[in-house]
Amino acid sequence: MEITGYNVAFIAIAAMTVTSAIFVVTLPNILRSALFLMFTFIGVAGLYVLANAEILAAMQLLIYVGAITVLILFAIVLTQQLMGARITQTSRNIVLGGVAAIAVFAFIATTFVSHFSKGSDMIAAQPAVPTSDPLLMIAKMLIQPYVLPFELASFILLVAMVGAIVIAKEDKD
Amino acid sequence: MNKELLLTAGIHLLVAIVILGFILFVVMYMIWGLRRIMGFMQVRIGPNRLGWQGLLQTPADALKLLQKEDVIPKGADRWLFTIAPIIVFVPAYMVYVVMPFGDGLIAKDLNIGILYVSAITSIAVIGIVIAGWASNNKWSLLGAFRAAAQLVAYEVPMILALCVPVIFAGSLRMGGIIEAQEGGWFTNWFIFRGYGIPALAFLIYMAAGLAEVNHIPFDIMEAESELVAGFNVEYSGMKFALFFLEEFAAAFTICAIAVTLFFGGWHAPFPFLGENLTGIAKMAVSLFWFLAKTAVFVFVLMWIRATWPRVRVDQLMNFGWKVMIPMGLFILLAAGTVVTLGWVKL
Amino acid sequence: MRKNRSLFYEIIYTFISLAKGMAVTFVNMWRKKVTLMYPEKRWELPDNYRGIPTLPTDPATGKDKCLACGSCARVCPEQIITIEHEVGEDKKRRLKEFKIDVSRCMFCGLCTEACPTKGLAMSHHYELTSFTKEEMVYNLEKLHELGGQFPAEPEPENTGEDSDKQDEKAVGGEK
Repeated sequence: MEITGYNVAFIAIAAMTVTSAIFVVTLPNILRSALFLMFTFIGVAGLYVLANAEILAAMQLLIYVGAITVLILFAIVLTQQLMGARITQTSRNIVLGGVAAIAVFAFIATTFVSHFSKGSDMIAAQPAVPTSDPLLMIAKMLIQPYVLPFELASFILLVAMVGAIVIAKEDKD
Repeated sequence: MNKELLLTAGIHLLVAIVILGFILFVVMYMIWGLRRIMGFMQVRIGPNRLGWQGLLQTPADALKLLQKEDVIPKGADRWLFTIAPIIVFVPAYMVYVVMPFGDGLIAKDLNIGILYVSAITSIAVIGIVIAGWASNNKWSLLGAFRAAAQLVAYEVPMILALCVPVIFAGSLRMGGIIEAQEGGWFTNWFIFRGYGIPALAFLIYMAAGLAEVNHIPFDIMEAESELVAGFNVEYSGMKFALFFLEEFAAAFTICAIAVTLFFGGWHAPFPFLGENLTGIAKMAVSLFWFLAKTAVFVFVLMWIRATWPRVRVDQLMNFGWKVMIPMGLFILLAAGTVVTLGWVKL
Repeated sequence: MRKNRSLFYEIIYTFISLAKGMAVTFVNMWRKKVTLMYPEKRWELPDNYRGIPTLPTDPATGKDKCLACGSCARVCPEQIITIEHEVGEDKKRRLKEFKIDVSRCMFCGLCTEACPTKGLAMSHHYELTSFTKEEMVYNLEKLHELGGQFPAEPEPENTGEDSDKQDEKAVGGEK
């Protein structure tokens, strides 16, 4: 395989993503797992950048790292230190979990193989630089053909927020 | 080995080192400036002994911090305790990739510039939460809680405010936003255009920015009168220096982004002050204007620090969710309306 | 107070008060600084300033007024004054050594009040730091040096008055 900047970056980022993903499921300390989850998310964002999808990468960081990981950490820290409950990772259902993981992997692998069996090289091929601004393309897509799913998603989020407030609201009785 | 690849990597490394050096230099003299200016405002003199007017005081302090014993508390999670300052500092450093220091002086003009800034800065809060948790100290844990609540709350109005110049410029690129404010006169800066909507956005941005870098009116996460020092109580030596470095680097970032988005970036206020130059001269003059404008905002930050009291934690959350976010949504709507109806000349 | 004011007024007033605060700090920035650049400049001490008790000497004879009676040593709450005396051939007590452990002195001034001849006086000397504990026990020689001379006018309370020059000399010597 030829040594190009793209390949070096891809292998480094992919290695980081996979290694931290392994740490997420194997480390006994759940807070460290959460931290490695953040590294996994950052690695995925890096892969998006390599695929010339910077906007997706930024969204990945903003939502998965900036919001979801913080939420997870917040929940862990609250329960672990303030409530005194020690949470550790367990591997009770290792067989079932393993089966599920293999099934998902097989599904993704078949999809990939069927997609790339047309002759293109999976690793060496550098994604083409998009001809027009991808940002603009995504913006137009969201406003024109996919406006209904976009608005629906925001509506669902609104419903979820209202639901959360209703659940969290104190009972006056 | 691929020669071209090595060359590219070398150039990138060089740029990275230059930016790191710039951050260290700027932070050192921001700290010196803060101590002198706050001293003056409190009718004191401030550090003026080491070097001319005390200019070597902060480098000396930094050297002292480097030599200090690195204390890790007994009950702390050693590994997380060590990695937390790094997680906090690295995003603050990475933001400088898109910092438009001058005409052509930008490490990489990403097409998602502003989005990149807000995405990268949102990582730092994780480092703060982890630092607070790993210290095994209740002050730092409380500080970490406050940090998580505050930073998540204020990120929303900040991004909403950032959207206004983006709508006006029609670009997320730093370069694109600066180009949209071109034209020589300061009246072309966004802050003076669009019926005051960008001015309002600027106020919201600065308030949220102060909260993001836990600066004085919103520094409840390290409120020294309540929490000793918040999330970094247990930190000492080099690790503490990293937190300190991050705080000031982020404060500089906030000011620099405000200059870029609302005050014309590296453009001179008057066309005869360096708009007609070319080449290196243009670069130098634009760098000067960028740094000069940023310095004004850094001074305002220090001024605020010397003046205003700290808000209470519940006031902070109320202000964030009940004032800042509705106002952010309102100005976003207003900016969109004004631009769509073509009421502003773009 | 709050109920009569509209929300709009409150918002405006908030901004006004914030700006007022900023104005105060900005004006103060240009005021003359209160800091005294200490080793180069010093405060002018009032006459009744209490530094370390010393034994001023008479300019005419070059001797102090101490009778070696020991009143000061007895009255000292910290018991830091040690007096050694010898009885001469004329059967008079003469002062041989006078020691004050200034590391424990609390500057109460009782010793100077107990002194029957007012030969012990509070000086203006306040820079008492040293690298060893031994250096902080002042002997007769040092107390003479710090005490300086009695003023021409015999007014024992103000003996420390002109010891300023002596102070600076002593400081210069330490440098």
